[in-house]
Order: sequence, then structure tokens, then C-alpha cells
Amino acid sequence: MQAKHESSADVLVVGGGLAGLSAGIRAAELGLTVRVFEQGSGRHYLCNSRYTGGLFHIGMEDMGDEPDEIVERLERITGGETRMPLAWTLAHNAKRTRSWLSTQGVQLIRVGPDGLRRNSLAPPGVRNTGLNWRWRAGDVMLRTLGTRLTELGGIVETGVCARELVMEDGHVRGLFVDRGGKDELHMAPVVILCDGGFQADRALLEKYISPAPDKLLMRNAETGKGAGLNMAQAVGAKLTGMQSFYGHVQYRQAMTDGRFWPYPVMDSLCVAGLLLNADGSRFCDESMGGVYITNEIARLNDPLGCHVIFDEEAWQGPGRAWLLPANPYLEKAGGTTVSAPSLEELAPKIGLAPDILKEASARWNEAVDGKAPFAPARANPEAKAFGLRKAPFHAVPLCAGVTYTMGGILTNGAAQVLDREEQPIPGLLAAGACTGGLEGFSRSGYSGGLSKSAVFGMIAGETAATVVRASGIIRKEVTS
Amino acid sequence: MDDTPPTYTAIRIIKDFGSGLAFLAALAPLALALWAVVAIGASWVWFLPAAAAAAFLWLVLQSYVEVLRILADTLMPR
Repeated sequence: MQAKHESSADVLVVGGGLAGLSAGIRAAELGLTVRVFEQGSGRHYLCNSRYTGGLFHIGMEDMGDEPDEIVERLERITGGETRMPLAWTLAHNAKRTRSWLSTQGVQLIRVGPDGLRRNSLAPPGVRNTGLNWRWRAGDVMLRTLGTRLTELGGIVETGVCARELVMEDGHVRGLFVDRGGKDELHMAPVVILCDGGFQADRALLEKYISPAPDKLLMRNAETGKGAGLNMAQAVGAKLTGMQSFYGHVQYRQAMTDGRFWPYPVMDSLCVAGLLLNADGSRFCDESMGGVYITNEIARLNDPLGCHVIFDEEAWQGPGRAWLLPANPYLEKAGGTTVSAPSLEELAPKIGLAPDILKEASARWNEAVDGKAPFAPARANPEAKAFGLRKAPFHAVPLCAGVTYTMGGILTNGAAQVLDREEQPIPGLLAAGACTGGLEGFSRSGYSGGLSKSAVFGMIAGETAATVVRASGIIRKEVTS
Repeated sequence: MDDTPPTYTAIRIIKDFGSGLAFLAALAPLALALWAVVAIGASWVWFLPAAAAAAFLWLVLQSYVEVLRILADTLMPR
């Protein structure tokens, strides 16, 4: 197909989510002409940022904490695997980004007593099960930022898919896009990739995450298909941390019923209870937390074969813990636990032989009592395991909900995309969930998608300004 | 998909016109005192408690309007 030369700008941004709009606005504030290409269409084009409940945090704590504290936190949750330049940049720019977002009209309010809920988008997401994004949180944020970018002279074009980067002499010079089946060529000294992770691409999920991607719950907008990641890789970008994703353990019926995702989540029950795969065996260290467990479930050959088994004490304790927990929100949403007065009666209801469940529960209770080691071991002593003792006994069928992939394009602290020798690829920047190196890795350590997208989006805009100024050409307006 | 956010008509009216309505409502005790003086010959002294009541009423209503504005600005779908 013949490509048509359509336009030029100082910066082309791929993706109209939080990272892309932050990058575009910051670049426009610094005097650049900006064009954002968004594959979705309409006023409420879908993306993960649209679905968000709106909690800006870093590692489940306040993003406004002291930088040293944040860096230490990121090292702890990733087992030291986080790339220090990225962790440092996130930590030292988090407060600045929060203030900057406020100047763009994005309101952040406190919605709870802890650091996790210190900075929530206003109006906050509905505290209810199922998907409730309209007119709140991420939806308002994206419309606010889109309006702001337009005020600054930027252009957001919806219904346009980025397809391929244009390279000349090792320098990114532009972008081929697809608009309604027609190719267009857009030239710019800087391209910023912000099109989200690869969570909605089954082939990439199978390659990096799970042997059974069709058995994972798409706990996302199903728009992140790794286009930016593939484009970057095609011009030599290095990928990192591809094996893990952010998500939560969900009620299995969520696979086919929207009432059960993104909330309630089963994480706390899984941390405290006996988590078994389809064979009736424990398979991971549940004490590492819900995001880690979700990743481990996804790695099973049958991610839809798991149950968490617990007694009444756990149901009334950790069953009620954290945001929109299983107790009582599972039943409020129309779901139910599988319950029985004894483990022998519970086993056939969840497809296990009674003697297998009896043996697994006996080993579990011995380990909880300290009479035998946990196998697999539980590394986090702060996560209390609950024995199976007090009837009635319950089970919940589970699935792994994938929200966004935490690995991706390797960047440095200035949001420059790095090649396989970890040198910047001139003219190519990236931010948000398409990037890797900050979070995830072997512990599936979760930093936070909104803080990551906003901070590195803003920084990408600033780097773009530096690059364009160095090139000596700043266009006064977007040409078309 | 709904193409407009929920309206919450009463909240919107109070948000937009609440200060004026609070002021008008606060005049009620003064009006009552005036009526009492003119119509049934009550003492002008009644204007003192009426003025105090009007000030108190205005404070209560205006604070309600301001709280409602804060809630509307931060919590209402838009």
C-alpha cells in the first residue's frame, strides 16, 4: 500500500492514555507541536486509564513519601531487581508530578486513611463490584487532559493505529500509521510510545506469561496489544521483565460474567487460605501477596483449575480484608462460595478426591501449627496462614485477572528507549505500561500503573523538548 | 452507553443558586419580626432576636451550601 506523507510535528505520541496525554501536554507546555495517535474512537475511547479506579500510589503506599523511602520500597518489593535509574526517577519526581497534574486540572483527593488511598482521582471510582468507569476517576481524568492538550495546541487523533517506526541513519524520524485502512507517514524528530502493555495480545501472553492465555481473565480494557513494544523491538529496543503482570485473583465466573471483575478480588483469602491447583497441590508461596499469586496461577497449565479453601474463621477475618474483598462483596455481586460442614464433603464439590483434600489440609494444618515446614515455603512471616479447623469449610473457584503487563521496553530515567547495548535509540521515547524495568520481575513486585504512567509520561515530554531543541527545529504549529 | 452524566438536579440547583437561597431564607426571621411589629403591634425589640436568628440561619445554610459545593466538585460524576 502506498504511504502518503500527511503531516509533521515536533512530537508524535502513540497512545491517548495517561502516559501519552501527560507526555503530550508537557511537550506542548514546553513549546513543541504535538500530535497524539489513539487507536480507540469516540469521546470515551477505551484504554486501561479509562477503567482505572484512580489510586495514585507507589508500591501500595503514598506516592508523596520521601524519595529514599520510595526507592527502598521498590527495591524490597522487586527483590532488588528494579532498575535503579527508573526507581530513582520515579521516587524523585512523584511529588512534582502530583503537583503538575493538579495544574492540569486533575483533582486528587484522600479517600482513605492509608497511603494507598492518599491520592485518588476525583470524582473517585464507585466502591462497588463490576465495571463502573463512566463519568468518574479515569474517565474524567482523560477528558480533562485531552481538553488541556487541545488548549495547548496539541492534536488528539482517534481511530488511528500506529504501525511502524521510520528510521534514518539509526535515528527515529517518524511513524507510519493506519487510518481507516490507509497508510499515512508522519514525520517528527521524536516519537513517544505510550500505548500500554501487551496484556490483550494472546500470542505475546503465551510467549512470555502463560501457557494458556485463553484461560486468563482480561481484567483490562483489551486495548493493550503490544504494538508499541513490537515497533520498538523492530528498531532494536531491548525488552525487560516480560514475565510478570499486575492483576488480581478473581472469582472464576468473572471469565464470563462482568459482575465479578475488576472487583471483588480474592487476594486476601488466597494469602491466608489453602490454595490448590487442579491436582490438589499447593504450587506457590501465597505469603508473597495477591499479585504474585495471580502470576503463579497464570503460569499453571490449567489456570482455571485452582481453588482457595478456608474455614469460617478465615472467611470472617482475611475474607473481609482489603478493597472490596470476597466477604461480603462476592455474594453481593451474585456469587457464592462452595461450602460444606466437613472437608470430606467439600472435596467432591470442587472436583477433588476426598483423600487428596484431606491429606493436603492435614499437611497445611501441621505447617500452620509449626510442626512441619510449608512446602512450598512461605517467605513472608507477616502474612498469617489460617488452618482449616472451624466448620463450615468453604472454597472459591479462581481465575487469574490480568490488568497490565509490567515488563516491556527498557528505558532510562529520561524515558529514552534503550537498545540491546543499553544505549539510547535517538528520537525514540517511551512511557507507561509499554515500558519495563521498574516493576515486576521474579517477585511480581507491583509499583503502580498510574504513578508510573504519569511520572514517566511527564518526563518523556520534557526529554522530547530537550531533544527537539537540540535538533534546532521547533515547528510553530502542526502541519497537515 | 449513556452520553451524559447523571444530573443530580437538586444538588446542581443548590450548588448554583445556594448562596442566594440561603440569604433569602435567612431573611425569614426578620420578615416575621416585621410582620409581628406591623400587623399585631409587637415591640421593636423583637428585631434583636430576629436579627440573631437570621444571622445564625444564614451561617447554617451557607455552610451547608459550601459543603455541598465541595462534595459536588470532588465526588459528583461529570
